Amino acid sequence: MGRASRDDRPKPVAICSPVAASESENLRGSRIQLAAKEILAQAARPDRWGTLALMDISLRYRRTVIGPLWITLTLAATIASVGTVYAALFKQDIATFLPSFAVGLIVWTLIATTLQEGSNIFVASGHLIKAVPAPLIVHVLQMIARNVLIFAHHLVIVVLLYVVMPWPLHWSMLLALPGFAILFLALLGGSVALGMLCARFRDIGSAIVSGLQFVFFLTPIIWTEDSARGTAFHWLTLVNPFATLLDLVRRPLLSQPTDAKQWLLGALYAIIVAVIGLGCYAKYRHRVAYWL
Amino acid sequence: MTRAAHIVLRDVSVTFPVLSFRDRSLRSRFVGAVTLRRKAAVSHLITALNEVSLDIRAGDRLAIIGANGAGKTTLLRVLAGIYHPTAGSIDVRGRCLSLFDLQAGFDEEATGYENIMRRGLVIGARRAEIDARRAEIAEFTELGDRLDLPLRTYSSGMMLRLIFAVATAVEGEIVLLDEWIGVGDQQFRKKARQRLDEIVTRAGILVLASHDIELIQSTCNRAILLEQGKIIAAGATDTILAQYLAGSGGKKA
Repeated sequence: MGRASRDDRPKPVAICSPVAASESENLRGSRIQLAAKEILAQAARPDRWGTLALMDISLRYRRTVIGPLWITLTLAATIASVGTVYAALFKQDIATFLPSFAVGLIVWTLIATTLQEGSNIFVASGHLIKAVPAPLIVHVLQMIARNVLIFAHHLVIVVLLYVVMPWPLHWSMLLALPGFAILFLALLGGSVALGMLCARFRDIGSAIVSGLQFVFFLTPIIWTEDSARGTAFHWLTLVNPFATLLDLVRRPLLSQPTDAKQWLLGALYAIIVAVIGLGCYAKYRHRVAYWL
Repeated sequence: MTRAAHIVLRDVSVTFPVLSFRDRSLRSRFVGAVTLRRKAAVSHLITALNEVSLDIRAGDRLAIIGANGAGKTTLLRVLAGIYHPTAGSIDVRGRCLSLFDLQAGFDEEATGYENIMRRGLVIGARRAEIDARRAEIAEFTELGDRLDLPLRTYSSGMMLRLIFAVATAVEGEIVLLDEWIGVGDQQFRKKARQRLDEIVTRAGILVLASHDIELIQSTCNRAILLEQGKIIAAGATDTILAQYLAGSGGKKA
């Protein structure tokens, strides 16, 4: 590992990383630091990945009228149909079940598409990775930003639902933001780790698709924690990291209380995933180009 | 340009694992582990570069010569920072302008102007900087209003004009070229040639991988001859070229 990450002096177009061989020798011991520095330097440049993400969306829906709202519409149809049917079948109060199901499904969609696209991210950007010297994290940030933008479109459904069947507003709704930050960290770490794993072992991508399907049913989205109380399913809500992370966004949005245990657990999960992602990034980011 | 550009390579090796389908499958590893069957051979390794040491100083116009598969493109990718050597060390001082795979980052559905932005962001330029260069790039392409149309409506010549204009709008002290770029119709070709000449003249270092003997003779002052990833000769352009031409029929130079 001779070439170190880009230096942090602002430069107009920093394409190569001018770090002397002797310097990088000294830095050999701190690969993690170099990786973290590279990630932070790029994370601080939303003009790069954010603009590319915006362009991705605008290009994908260029020839449509309502654009990305098509995905929102599809999701809204699912929520309306499945939500009402399940509420009736499981004898749930529709005014509490439907918002919870809607927000749950919207957050889940963000998690699932990010992890799915994340596992394919380096393979999908292979051509670019082999053509242009750019830190790999840019591709990941761009992909997550794209999915977050689509997620933002979906929030229209939550607003509409609120108009139809309002739930009490509370200042604690703002807790959805730190909750989202924790989820973002987990998605970033997970995408990097899965992306590298899938670049090396190509069949993991398919495993992840089916795995996510499985996890969807084990996460309280189409069923609620309350309805599972007393059954074997209840312990799942306690040990399923997806449930914890999802709830840190969902519960505040629904003005439902969150407790410190959930926050600690969620933060712990996110940090573990982020550390794994960082470790992979430090160890394998220079190998990825050879696997593509 | 506060400090002169330089490139120093010390015993740089690049070994590729050639991952066959078998090697890539986790299942095969699992099955192998469960049945305790050792695989006969480990995944193939290709040594694309083998202990390459190289000093390139400001003012050098280095030609990389060698048969197909000798490692020319791999070496350029190492210099550009796309491949990181599996052994050895590399030190690149100066900003690199890598002029290969120029179409990477372009999108069929985006307009000419949007593609200028896209490619700029992809190579790491700042938005403000791209905005500032936009008019200049547009003017160079001579495509006028057609830059508002999606790329898929462009003829290949028009597309090349745009790609060339965007790629060469960035400055670099180190210019890496995989074959000379010739684009467009006669008139544009002349203009492109002129711009490339300017870029090469301004650059502190030029590294050119090419098979074009005349081009190398007229552009480069140093050359290295690669064979199977090893530098088998280095020196003045004429000497190396002579050796390459003499040895291209036989085995050893």
